[in-house]
Amino acid sequence: MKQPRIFIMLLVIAFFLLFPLRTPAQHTYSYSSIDYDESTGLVNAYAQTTPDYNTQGFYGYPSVTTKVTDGSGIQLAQQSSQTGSVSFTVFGDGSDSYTISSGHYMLASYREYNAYSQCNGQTYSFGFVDYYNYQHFSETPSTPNIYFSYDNFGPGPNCPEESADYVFGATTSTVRRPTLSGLNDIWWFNGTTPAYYALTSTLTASPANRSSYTFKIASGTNEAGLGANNATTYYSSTNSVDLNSTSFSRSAADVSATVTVGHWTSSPLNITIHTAYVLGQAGAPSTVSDSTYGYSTTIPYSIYDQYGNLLPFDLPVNEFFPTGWPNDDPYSNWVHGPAGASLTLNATFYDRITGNSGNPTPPSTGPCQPLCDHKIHHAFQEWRAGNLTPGQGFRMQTDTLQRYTDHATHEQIVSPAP
Amino acid sequence: MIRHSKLFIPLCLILAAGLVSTLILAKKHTSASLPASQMSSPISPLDLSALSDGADLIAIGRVTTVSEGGSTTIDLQNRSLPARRMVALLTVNNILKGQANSSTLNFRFLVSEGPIGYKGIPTNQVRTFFLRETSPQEYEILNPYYPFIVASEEATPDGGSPLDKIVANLAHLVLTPTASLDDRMEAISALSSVKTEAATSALRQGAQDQNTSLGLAAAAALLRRNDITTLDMVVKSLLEPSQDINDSVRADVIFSLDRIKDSRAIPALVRLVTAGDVETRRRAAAALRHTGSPDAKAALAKALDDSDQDVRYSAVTGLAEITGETQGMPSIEVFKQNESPYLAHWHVRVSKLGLRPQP
Repeated sequence: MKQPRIFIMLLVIAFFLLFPLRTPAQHTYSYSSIDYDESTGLVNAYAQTTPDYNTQGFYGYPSVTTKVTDGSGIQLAQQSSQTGSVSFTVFGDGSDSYTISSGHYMLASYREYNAYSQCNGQTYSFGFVDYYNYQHFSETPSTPNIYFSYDNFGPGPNCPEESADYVFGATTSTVRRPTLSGLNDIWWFNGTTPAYYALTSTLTASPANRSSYTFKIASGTNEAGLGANNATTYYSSTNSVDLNSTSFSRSAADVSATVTVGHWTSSPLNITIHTAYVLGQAGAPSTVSDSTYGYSTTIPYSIYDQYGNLLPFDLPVNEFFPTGWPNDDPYSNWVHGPAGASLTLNATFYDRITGNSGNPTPPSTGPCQPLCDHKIHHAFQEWRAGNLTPGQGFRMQTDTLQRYTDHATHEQIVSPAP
Repeated sequence: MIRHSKLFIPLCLILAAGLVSTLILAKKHTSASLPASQMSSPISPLDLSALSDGADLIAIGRVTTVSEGGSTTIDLQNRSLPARRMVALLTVNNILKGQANSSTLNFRFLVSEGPIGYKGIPTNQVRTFFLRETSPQEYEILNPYYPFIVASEEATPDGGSPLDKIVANLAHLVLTPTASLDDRMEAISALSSVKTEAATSALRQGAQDQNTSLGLAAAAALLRRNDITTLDMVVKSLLEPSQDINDSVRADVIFSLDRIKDSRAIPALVRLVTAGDVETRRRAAAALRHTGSPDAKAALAKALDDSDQDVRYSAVTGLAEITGETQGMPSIEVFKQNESPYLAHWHVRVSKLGLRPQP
């Protein structure tokens, strides 16, 4: 019984001796990174070639040769090392981007004599051996500024050649000044939110997929805020934030925002915050006779922003009477309507004021020629944009609404009237 | 008793049905609510396309009688306003949309006690009425702010959409010298709300009318749609004022100038901005700005020295926008507080740009 056991053991030993286990595939890692510190004006460059433990047994002198260029391709610095890494700084030249490009290689230290190369069918009396038959490649990151670690994979088997240098490939990386994009023109209506008008500019920073972004309102902190709390500075792990209007611009593009990514700050994104600011006469006031109300006066207005541009979309507009309707004629029994509201058409609306229906005292008549001066009553009137609720929205005009027996007027007009 | 009881049940059913229908009608007529976007004065300008689309029945005719149907209320801004129910009897001349079973029909409308911008319904005047059918052959006005527009009794529009027919009717009225001037002016006003080729053509024809005020009213409507075919006539009327021109029409023409954006208008606008009255210069300067054309720069450069601050503001903002140098462009408020730095800046820029102000 003992003999078969010994036999089996011998067979196993013979198997391992005759069929040695295949050497596992090996790895060498290549890496380049670059950063720019705007406060010092220095470009920080780093590159390395890192073989793993098994690789180090057959290769030596992990080497890297690195150069830094600016956005125009002008070379600012170059360094090499046979210790596996380089790390250096160089002054930037005002460019909006810097690129590091590195070549990675090692020396084969394992030699064979009278070796046959299955790669090219030749027999060498002496040669260094690319023991793991490393794959050679050169690659550029698919997304700028993302620092990949490249794995040069050596699946084996060996393939002796005359050259001792084995270039694994090249890595490259670029750092750019971050950029900020978003709407340049947004609106504010004193807290109301009419349709069609953007009250927010969503700021989007590039590059994306970085771990940290610092958004900041560089100017115009009284007119805009960042995020839900309308902060001046907003830290984020994502590359976008909402800039919300909190007031309106006094000068064009007086709100500016920046983003800092790493140590580099973007150029400012300039934003103008518009509002419905002023009423302009859109036509001459007119009064016609009305069979029911005696007269009907129409006063046309158009709405302009604070730069005198007609508003681009329609919006709600309302009138508001904050202080009542004093009678000018003590014997009048005319009634007044409530404050009203309407949507504009082509940023234009009419104030239509009629006489009284029924048989009021004094009588309501069609327009006299010339117009009569018998006053009925009047009211301090406000005009606001952005909301259908009287008194809500941005105030554009104040005036005195005066009703006469045969017509009505807006008097003591003040516009703008923020 | 048996006979009485047999009659009693149907009678009760009839009375109950009558009571229910009365309550429904009473509810229907007791109050009226308006859509939130259309509440009172202020009101939207006339939109004939919307009226034409929204009406179930568009009829040309004259109202012969108006009768009162009791009190009601109008719900407005969470307030109930006293009002009266009215019924108008319309003698129909022509149907532009929908169908009417007879040559007369009734429609309902409300009259508010206070002024909320509603229009009254005139009697014995030919008008185009825009009606909504509330139940078969029962109508009420579609929009209390614009229940009707002026109409020509003679014109019989043929073919096209209801809006085309309305425009054709209005065009006929504009071109009928025997019609009243007020009606023709109202027709111009109604046509100005329609942006079709036919409406533009009618306004162009109206602008050639022998009545200067009517012609200028049509020209103003054209300028509002950036149509400058009549601009020379407008310039002449503004620079050589005539007694024939109604003050209101003249003002209307001036107010329409700043809607011009066509750069071909620049030579005419230059004349107005250098020789017109203050309001004309203001609107002409704004129009020069709105052209956005480099050809307007010289005139705007000269307007920097205008005696009126609003003209100077248009000059500064116009130059900033046309040159693309809008960073720091002042708002009206900032400019009015201190215009000196902006004028000084643009005087220097104008010099550097080699812009010689036009004489």
